[in-house]
Amino acid sequence: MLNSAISKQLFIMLLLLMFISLGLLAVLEGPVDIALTNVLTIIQAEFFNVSDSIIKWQQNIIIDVRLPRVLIAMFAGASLALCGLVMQGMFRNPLASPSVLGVSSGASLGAVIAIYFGFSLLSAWIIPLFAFIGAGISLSIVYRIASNQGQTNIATLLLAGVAISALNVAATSLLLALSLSNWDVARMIIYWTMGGLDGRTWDHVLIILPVVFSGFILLLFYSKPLDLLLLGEQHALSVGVDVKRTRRNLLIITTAMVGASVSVVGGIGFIGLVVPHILRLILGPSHRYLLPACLFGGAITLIGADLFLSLFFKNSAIPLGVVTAALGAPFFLFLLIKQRVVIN
Amino acid sequence: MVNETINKQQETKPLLSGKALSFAYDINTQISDINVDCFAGEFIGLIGANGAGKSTLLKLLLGLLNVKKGTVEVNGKILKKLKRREIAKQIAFVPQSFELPFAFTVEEIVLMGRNPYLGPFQLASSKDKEIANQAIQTTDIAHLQQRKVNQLSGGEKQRVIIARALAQQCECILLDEPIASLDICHQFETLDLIKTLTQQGKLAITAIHDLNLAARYCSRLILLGKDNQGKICIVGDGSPEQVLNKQNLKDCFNIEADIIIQGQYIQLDNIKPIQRIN
Repeated sequence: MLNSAISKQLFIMLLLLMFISLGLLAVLEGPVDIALTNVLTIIQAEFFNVSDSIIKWQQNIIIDVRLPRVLIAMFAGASLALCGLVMQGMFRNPLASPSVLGVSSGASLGAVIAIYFGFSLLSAWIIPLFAFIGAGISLSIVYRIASNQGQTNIATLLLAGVAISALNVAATSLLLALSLSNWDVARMIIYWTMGGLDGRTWDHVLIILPVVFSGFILLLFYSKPLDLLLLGEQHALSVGVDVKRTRRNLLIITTAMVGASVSVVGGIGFIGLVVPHILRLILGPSHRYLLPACLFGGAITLIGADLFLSLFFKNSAIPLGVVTAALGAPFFLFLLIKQRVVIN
Repeated sequence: MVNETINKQQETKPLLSGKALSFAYDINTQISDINVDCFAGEFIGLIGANGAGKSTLLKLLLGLLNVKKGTVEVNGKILKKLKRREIAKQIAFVPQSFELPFAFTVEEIVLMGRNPYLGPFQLASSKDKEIANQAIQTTDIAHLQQRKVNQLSGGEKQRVIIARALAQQCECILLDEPIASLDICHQFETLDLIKTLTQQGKLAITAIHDLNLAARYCSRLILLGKDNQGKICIVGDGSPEQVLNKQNLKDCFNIEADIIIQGQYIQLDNIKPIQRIN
């Protein structure tokens, strides 16, 4: 663990650098080679309305295919990592994460309901809205069941999360099975539940970007209360944190962020669990450093996973969630074992 | 001593008071109609058997639990109407159970006591740090200052939490069995420390199991027990001499003891449990 404030700040700067360079790399990487200078002119042209010496097909690929993909990967990864961080802090539990607490599956169920009943045809915002409602209902049920008299029982919280998750997954499968008679709807549901980053457009960017960005800004206001909540509800209350209100606000923020990212990229597990953990082991428990670190760390992880797939498994359709889990889980186990050695 | 207390009550307004407090966890734990006035400079020991409602009463006075009926007032203001930040400037709390599994340093934890005075992005100023440092010196944990709290022993953690409460600079400090996990030396030191604070004009209310230490240190004892309907009520309230009598010991603790006078305070000796007759 890094101890001095300067080393922590340096580490975050390092993450920022990695974030920028991976982002650039991801824009460069693809089936056709487009030179870095061309990429830069195209991006410059797009944002500053200069249109000289641009090759049209390259512009289309960069602007309409690669850039949205990279931006969505960034914001979805950041959102999942931030939500995991906040949930772990809020519930004082290292195992809490959007997927473990049933929030991701709730968001999926909400979205599938919207598709099944045809609401999704009305507007592009219907799926995110339903995903948000689904995530919110799941999380509030889990939270209500687990908390009594201002105390949250951690084992109950996790068990309730697992149960609600199972229920959500079952309901999603049921809707899919029912929709098979109507192939158009079924195809949409299947396509949507597969998740991932393929075929994502600027519409998706517009859904995820404002939610995650404003969510992050709001979370910054809660970095102190989150530190205090780590010590327990009674401690937080006794030093002046309005625990109920803080929890409620944090739940709304994280639910919106999970809803937005799930509705755009589907359920991608393990980022919300592993990234905050790894960063906490490096930076310590203070949220002042962890919040920006998770923003960059989550983004780096998802862009990295996507790059990894497109570099090494070009022609096989491996879901992104498989990569994040396959890379994240062993690293996480390694850190756990290492930590155990230090303590003993 | 008794007269002194009465005089004080007539002179000054209570710092912290509960009026007709009612509360219920479940059928077995019901509090009804408890009235209590606490004054600056008092060191109040909250005594009673397990499950007698000591922690519950403390949490009601602090607003951690919401009263069903009645009001809690701090400095003449109704607690319910105050924001948690405002309450945290008036009342500090040392909880009974705490796990500190996260790697904050001792200094960081103590500085958290300054939270009610700081805005969301405001960092601790040198004055805040000085106040925290003083609290660290007072509680004898200066040698632990840069250590991680998750590596400390139970007693060390307890002192860190007391230091954090001191850093809040409140008029009232409520403690839920602060000496339960301390070794004998630190039990005395902690109670000495609280006593010094009360002599400086603060109010301390502590739940405490050790009746002899309570009799020795506290200026006033509040004994909680159950009335004939099984509801929690105040059985005795007054100086240790008034509260610790044979009848109360028998009714509330089911013990027999010799009550002896040792210097300025009374002590229990020869304590025996009374055989229960079914």
